[in-house]
Amino acid sequence: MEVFEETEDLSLLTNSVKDLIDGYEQAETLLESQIKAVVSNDSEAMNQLISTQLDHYEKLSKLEGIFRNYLSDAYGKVDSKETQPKLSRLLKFYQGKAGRLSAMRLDLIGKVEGVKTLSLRLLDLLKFAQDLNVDTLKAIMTAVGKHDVHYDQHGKTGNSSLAHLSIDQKG
Amino acid sequence: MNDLFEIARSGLLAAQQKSTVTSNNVANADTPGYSRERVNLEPAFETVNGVSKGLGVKTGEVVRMRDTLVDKQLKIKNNELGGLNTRSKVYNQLEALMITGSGNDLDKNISDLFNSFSDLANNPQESNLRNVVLSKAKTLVNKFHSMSSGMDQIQQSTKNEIGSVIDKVNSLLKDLSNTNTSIAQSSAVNKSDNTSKDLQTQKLSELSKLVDFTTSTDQTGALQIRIGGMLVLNGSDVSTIKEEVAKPGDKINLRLNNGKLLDVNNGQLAAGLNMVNNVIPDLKNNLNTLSAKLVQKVNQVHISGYGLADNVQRNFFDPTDTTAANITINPDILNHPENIAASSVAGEAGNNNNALNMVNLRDQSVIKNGTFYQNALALISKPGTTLSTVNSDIETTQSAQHMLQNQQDNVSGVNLDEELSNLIKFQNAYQASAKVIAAGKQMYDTLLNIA
Repeated sequence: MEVFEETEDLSLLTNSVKDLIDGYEQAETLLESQIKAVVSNDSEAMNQLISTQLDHYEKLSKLEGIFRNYLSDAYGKVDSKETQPKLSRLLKFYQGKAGRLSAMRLDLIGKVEGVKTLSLRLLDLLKFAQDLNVDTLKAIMTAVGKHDVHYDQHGKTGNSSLAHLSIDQKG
Repeated sequence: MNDLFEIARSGLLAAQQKSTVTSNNVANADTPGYSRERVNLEPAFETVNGVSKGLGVKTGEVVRMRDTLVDKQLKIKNNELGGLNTRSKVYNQLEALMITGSGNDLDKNISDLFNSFSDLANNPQESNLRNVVLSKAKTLVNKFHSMSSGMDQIQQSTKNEIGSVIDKVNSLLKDLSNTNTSIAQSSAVNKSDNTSKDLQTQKLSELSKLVDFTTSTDQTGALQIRIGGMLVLNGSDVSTIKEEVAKPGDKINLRLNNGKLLDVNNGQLAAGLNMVNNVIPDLKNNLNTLSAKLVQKVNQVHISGYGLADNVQRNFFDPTDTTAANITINPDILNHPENIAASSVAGEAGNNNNALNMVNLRDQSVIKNGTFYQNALALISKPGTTLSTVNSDIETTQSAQHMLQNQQDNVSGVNLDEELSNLIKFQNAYQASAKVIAAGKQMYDTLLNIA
């Protein structure tokens, strides 16, 4: 296999990986802020962070697109037959001559996995908080003998359980 | 990552405690005296090498939601209302005693007696008219007796009430000493005993209706209570109050079990003491003055005249005891209507001069308020006039008290709709967060796949 030297094209790819690492660092900070907002019962902060999070996803998605383009370009130089470019496979063509990119790749994987784990933890926390809230709501309704009123499609009312409080969810 | 677990763990604990407090608030929504509670959440920090980093949240004290300033104002209004209610109750009894629905009251009885002498003056020899004079005199004497004994009964029942108020005050002080002990025990292990604090507030509210007092807390946070400047509760130490009368008929004093005299200025106890020691005795004095003056003036005229049967000059009333309780008609007159002295000359049966002198007495100013009739009217209308003012003060004070109670309820009361809307607000925020976070998961996997 031909061994390639690190070129300017590769440095563009390296920069896009660096941008992704920065983006995921910010994602980590955002998730930590969200956890703090949940544990301190700050619903206002929670709602604000949801919109910041959505903006950040958009940014990460753009950075991923840039990375994918530079990766495809780099692949074009070494092996145009590859249909599913992958950074780890690309680095094999350089056989240790793209050390900086290789290190950054590991850094990126670590960051993405960290954010993924953090997301799962936050989801668990949110699930717990929701379950606890529903239990408390049920206890309150039972204690005061209140029933929430459900309106059917014909505008008729009737008592219903609290099951539909999980609004916007399927099932 | 360990920090993350720490944050999540503290968050779960905080959420659990918050949920417990919310449930407790709802369960006690209709418990009288219950104050809404709130968990104080505090940020948790760890300092490593001089750098602070957040570790989520820690649950601080569960605090009672009360406005202490409103509590203080409520105490004052309770105190005023306690005193006013006692005064109203006693004045009501006094008014019912003095002004009957039939209109057959002291003022009319006095008028009736003098009017009967006026009728007798028209026909001094007529025995029926002499019997009417005696009948009116007996009615008047009975009225004096019933008013005097009625006042005694009201005074005695108010004294009994004072005794029961003192018992209540002592019992409340004992209860407050117990709550002091519970609060101190919880405080020693850095816990807030909100149930005991609610109980303490309730007991203080009850006490404020009975007696005026000031509160303070000592270095350990235990409640101290002073009545009339005297320390009656200090931590778990209580001084009991007892009533004391030097000799029958004397004023009632209050004394602590440490021997010190106690002054009270407001509340049920002070109002009761004022009624027993001052108001009722004053009314009785006025009644006694009226009866004594009536005996003196009527006798003065009567003894200068003559009856139909002999030349003996007699008193109309027995002059030996002229108090309202013991006023009596001279038996020589009571059993012998012919001895009523209508004539100014012995042996002149048709002479009516003395009867006319008696009638003139009706219009003479005899005591400070004027004629007998005017004095009687002033006496019997006094409780009613004061009662009207007291009742008006009760209305004003009650209105202020309700306003303050509403203010306190806004702070301390449990608003189920608010608790529910808070929970739903959080539920919506949790769900929205969860949806957004879940959306990122696919993006992470895609990136890991090409990295």
